[in-house]
Amino acid sequence: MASITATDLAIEYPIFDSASRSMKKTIARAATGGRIAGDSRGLSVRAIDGISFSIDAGERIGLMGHNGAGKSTLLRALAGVYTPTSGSLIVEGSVASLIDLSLGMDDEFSGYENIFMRSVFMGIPKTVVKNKIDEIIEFSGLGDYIRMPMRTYSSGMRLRLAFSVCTAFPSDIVLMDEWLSVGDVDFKKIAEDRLSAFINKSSILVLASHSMKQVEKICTRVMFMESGSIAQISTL
Amino acid sequence: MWFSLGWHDIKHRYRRSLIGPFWITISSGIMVGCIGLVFSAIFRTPVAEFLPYFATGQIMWLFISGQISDSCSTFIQHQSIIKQISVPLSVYILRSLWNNLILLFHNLIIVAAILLFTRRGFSWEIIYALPALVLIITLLFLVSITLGIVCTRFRDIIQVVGVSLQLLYFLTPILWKKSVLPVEYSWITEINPFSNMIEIIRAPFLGHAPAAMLWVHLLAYIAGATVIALFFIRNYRHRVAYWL
Repeated sequence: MASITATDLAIEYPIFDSASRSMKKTIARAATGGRIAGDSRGLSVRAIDGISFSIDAGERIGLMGHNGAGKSTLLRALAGVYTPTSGSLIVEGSVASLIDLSLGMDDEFSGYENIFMRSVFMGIPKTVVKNKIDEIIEFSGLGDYIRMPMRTYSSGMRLRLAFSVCTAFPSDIVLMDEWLSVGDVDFKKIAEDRLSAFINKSSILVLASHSMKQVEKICTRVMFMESGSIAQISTL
Repeated sequence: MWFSLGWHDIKHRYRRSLIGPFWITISSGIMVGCIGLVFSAIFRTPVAEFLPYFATGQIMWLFISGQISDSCSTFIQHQSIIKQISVPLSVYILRSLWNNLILLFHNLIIVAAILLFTRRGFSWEIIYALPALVLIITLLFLVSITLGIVCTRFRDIIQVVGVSLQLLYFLTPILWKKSVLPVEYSWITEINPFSNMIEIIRAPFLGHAPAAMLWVHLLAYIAGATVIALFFIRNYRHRVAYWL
């Protein structure tokens, strides 16, 4: 059963300038007791400031808030990129991140090869990809272009391919930064259907968005974030 | 995963180029040939004796130093992926190690050509090269993990490693033989792990079994590197994404 539980979750980024990235300066500072004014020792940004929440199977969560409120950081923490600085975060179930669709794809390679490249980063075994490959190619609508290097693609074609791969393998938990809109008017409609079907197969959706309309349409609960804390949670 | 990614990197080199990584074989072949001829004249040693010695050492050095300098920037290079999805860090290290290993096999063609050309040929002792290579790869893997983590945090270590490698090249018996070293300086090769790695893999190619002490020392280096690597993995593995 998929679930997400956060208890006093805090994520703190260290801020480095060229001085604190330097080993010499760090050692020199240790020797002088770190009293030099104006240096950046210990300077950090608390992107997530001790929040607690739990998400159960079947929930669709909308994350709302201003730029820099901590939405993207929270998504990355859920994806396992940032380990909590303090507190705990327990994510049960497989996670699919739709934040960067074309992650790991390479322009020099054909669309066909890139389907495998993209799947490697999603942790999908080659045999599973092979079973789905015809369906992915068909949905991407690239036809014979699939054998051409990706550098010959238009940006719309790239996105269609990436989108087709990313939504081919269902996952327990889906993370999204803004609702996707892909391609021209015709494709937009079938992409929308595919995305909805993909999300329906998942157990939890966490969608960071600026659009209240979009969140109201899809989500069951909204979390409003404000400078790293949860300002309000409301059920829709 | 690292296997297909490393393979992918090599395929990338073959794209839009007829002979791909063999350019590296050609350039290191020319370098080995020229330096080998010049220095065998300077040292007044027969080419047939000096060239195989130098070529084997040099090609192995290219592999070892290449992997070490790559490892410093591995995580930085892949930061767009590390900041998006959670993949064990060792995958990135194995990817570059695998990449460098494939390049080594391309370069070994030079060694084979020189050994045949100078009519030394191969003897059965060559089988020692296999366990030696496995141990070297193990050591490189452990060192790479440590360096990768440290260099992500302290970016100027990358330069330090680069300069150190240049210096170590001259402190390692590649261009010169251990026997020319005055006795009071022989400790230089005794404590130099690069010297150990080069010697243990060069001997089988030249038809000798590596000295027993070389195995013992190499295993000791591996043990030491394991402790250090485990320390960094345990304490700083989760910090790497924050440092990028």
